[in-house]
Amino acid sequence: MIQQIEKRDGRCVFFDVTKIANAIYKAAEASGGHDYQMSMRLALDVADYVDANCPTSTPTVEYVQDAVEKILVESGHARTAKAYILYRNERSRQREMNTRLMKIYEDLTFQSAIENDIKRENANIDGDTAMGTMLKYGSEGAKQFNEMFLLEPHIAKAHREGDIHIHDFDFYTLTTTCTQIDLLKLFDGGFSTGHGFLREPNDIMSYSALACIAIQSNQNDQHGGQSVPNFDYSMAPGVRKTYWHKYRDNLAKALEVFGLEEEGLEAAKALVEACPGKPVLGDDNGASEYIRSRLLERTDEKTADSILAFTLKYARRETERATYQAMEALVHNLNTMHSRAGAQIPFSSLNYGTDTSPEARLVMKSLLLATEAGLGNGETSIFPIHIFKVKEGVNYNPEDPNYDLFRLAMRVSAKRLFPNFSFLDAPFNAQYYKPGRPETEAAYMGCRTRVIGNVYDPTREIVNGRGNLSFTSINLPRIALKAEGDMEAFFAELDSKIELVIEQLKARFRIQSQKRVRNYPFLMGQGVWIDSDKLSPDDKVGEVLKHGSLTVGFIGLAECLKALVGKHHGESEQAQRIGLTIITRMRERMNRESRETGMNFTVIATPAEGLSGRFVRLDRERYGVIPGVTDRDYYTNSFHVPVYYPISAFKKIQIEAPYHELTNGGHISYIELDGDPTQNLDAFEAVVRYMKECGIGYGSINHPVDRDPICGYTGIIGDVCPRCGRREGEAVSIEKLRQLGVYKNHNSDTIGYHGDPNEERDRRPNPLR
Amino acid sequence: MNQLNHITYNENGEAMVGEGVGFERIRRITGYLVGTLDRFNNAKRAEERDRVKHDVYHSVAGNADAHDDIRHSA
Ligand SMILES: [Zn+2]
Repeated sequence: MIQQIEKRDGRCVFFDVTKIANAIYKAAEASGGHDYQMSMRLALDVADYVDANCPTSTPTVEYVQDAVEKILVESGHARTAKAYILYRNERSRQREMNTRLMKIYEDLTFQSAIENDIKRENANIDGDTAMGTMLKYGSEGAKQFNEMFLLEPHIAKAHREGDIHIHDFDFYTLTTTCTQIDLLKLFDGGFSTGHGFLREPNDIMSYSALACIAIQSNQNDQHGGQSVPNFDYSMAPGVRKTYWHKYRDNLAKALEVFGLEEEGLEAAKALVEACPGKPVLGDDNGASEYIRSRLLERTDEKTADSILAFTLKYARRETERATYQAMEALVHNLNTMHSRAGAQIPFSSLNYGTDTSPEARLVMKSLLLATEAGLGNGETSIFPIHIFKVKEGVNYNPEDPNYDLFRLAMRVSAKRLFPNFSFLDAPFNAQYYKPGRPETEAAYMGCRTRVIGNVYDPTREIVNGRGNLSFTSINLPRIALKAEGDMEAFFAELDSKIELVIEQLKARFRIQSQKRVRNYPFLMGQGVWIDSDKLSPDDKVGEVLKHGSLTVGFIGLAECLKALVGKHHGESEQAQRIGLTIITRMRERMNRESRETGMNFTVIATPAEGLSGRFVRLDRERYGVIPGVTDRDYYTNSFHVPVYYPISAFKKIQIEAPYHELTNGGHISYIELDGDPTQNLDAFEAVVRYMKECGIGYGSINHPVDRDPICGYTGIIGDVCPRCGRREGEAVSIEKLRQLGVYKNHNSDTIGYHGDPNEERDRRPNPLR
Repeated sequence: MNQLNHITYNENGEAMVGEGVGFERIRRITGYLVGTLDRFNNAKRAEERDRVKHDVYHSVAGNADAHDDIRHSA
């Protein structure tokens, strides 16, 4: 008689025949059986069989399970056998996942980021730090848990096998993607971060500092990026307040200098407060005239004028200086401050360009100049992403009030890669635009997300307080490969994948809806998300979340078209027509879902960090190496013309523009410029203007930005640094650096991000035509 | 640990800096800037240097009409 049984981990436990009986009974139940006695009889048969046949005295679990299957089949319990096998396979898959998870944990523990892909998967988490590794443990564990226990099996399978990709899957049960933060609303009356209350800011320095804190705090409540949709409008009041202070303080100084007061501050305060209107940068508002009349009660005209001239001169000068310092500090903070247990820099985006007030113009000019100057040692700042909003009548043409800033933005972008440019005149953005209401200006988050239309509440088609809830991408090349050139089969499969994604987005939304305000102390607790200020801490957030978007994305339209018709949309007009048909079909399905549910279902041109490599790897395993489809290490980003394909900038823009209109959840087009665009700003401007004329919504120009950290040269560096003459890795004499005037104490604290180097490697510059 | 400040001496006894320090090559990868210092190997850098270049600016200058068309057109 069997005494013991050997478990999978090698431990031996007492053999218990009722356990076998229970397992058989469970399987029988699954197929409608209820006879426990029968289960026990079968279990005893199994025990007898093992006793008689097992080559060792201690059988393994596997051996016993094989025996159960054999006995069930041979005794005519086919359906129970089938259920038992299914159960066994499922258990074994779960065990494998646990083993896989432990293997992942082992690698995370003992490998550095250079060796370990997972540690580099999220570009801006430093996987080598303690907190970074702890985050990865959590992230990997959450993914396994979500796959095993939350996803419907058919959705889990589609995600696992690469038909679709559920983005930010580790956060599946936790939160939403991103928000466009209305800073002015947040600042009004002050706010709380959970670590203390911050008073309403009172000058530009605190406006900028609080902007960073808001971005940082909100980043802790979400997994995506944080965007300020109208940074210019948000900072302008800070400049106004600074100017008042500077005006008052310099008036006080002048009163002392010109001998009218021993202590000038109280007198200056009284004078300024009695003014009919407050003086601002662009408009004195009658303050000087009033103060002059009051001064003349005590002194002569010449002195009064001198006092006022002094006041105005230094109020302006100090305001300008303070604003520049505030913007410099902001850029510095956004590149160094951390959120999420200190392991990640927030993804920050700032949109600006349209506020024509002198205060906002000063903010933008300062921010751009600080960005152009670079960080401490002249390094290019990685954050924030700047988005300059281009608008006719505001900044697009030479006669427009902010045209000078548009020019400056291009100059800075030619040196530092930011700003990107968004186009408010593109018809799909212009439809929301209402003059004098900055919240109706389309904005972009991070690398492309866009949320402005609002099916849930058409009276509030605005950017403030809204964002994406979640998005899931479809592997387009896979569908094309499966269809083998059969268009009908392709579209049928595409439709079924869209349905699958909609089902999954809704399931995720149901989980998100169950969360309560207190789960998001900043996002909801401080009223950052639209209408969350009307909720109390224990209220569920489902209803207000409906202002957000649920989004389907796609990868590899180019490879999809290659697989379907042998050419991609950069190569053939026929392919372009099919490409547009595919994305139109996705959009129309999402529009229909929006109409039927009253929620914002949209289409995004997926950014694809990390993901495009995964899809192609899986497809290559399945379909082999297919030229133009699976023969590179990545699938092309969304609707882009492949980076390796030689095409002029203008042609590329023409081809990609129509997709911007279709992808209402977000989009971007890139142009690769060769050489140093700071040497030819006209070419840079020509590209940006052409984007605008073609109906691009959001665009950006890539060019090499190299830097020698030793001499600080920034520009294009070939083999040899044009400034100090050293080669990569070579030393240069300190004397030479001194002669160049560039020797100083350097520090090497630069930050970097991993993306997909394979994709980057293949990029080719686009000639302009 | 600050390699940028690490001073070495050459055969003439001159103080040198920069030994082992590479160039930083900032690129945009899926929307975010990437500081490539220490990230890419030499082969990738070499490959990047080998990229086909197009005469971008000449083509603008040589096509002044198209260029003017899109400039300042409202
Ligand atoms: Zn140098």
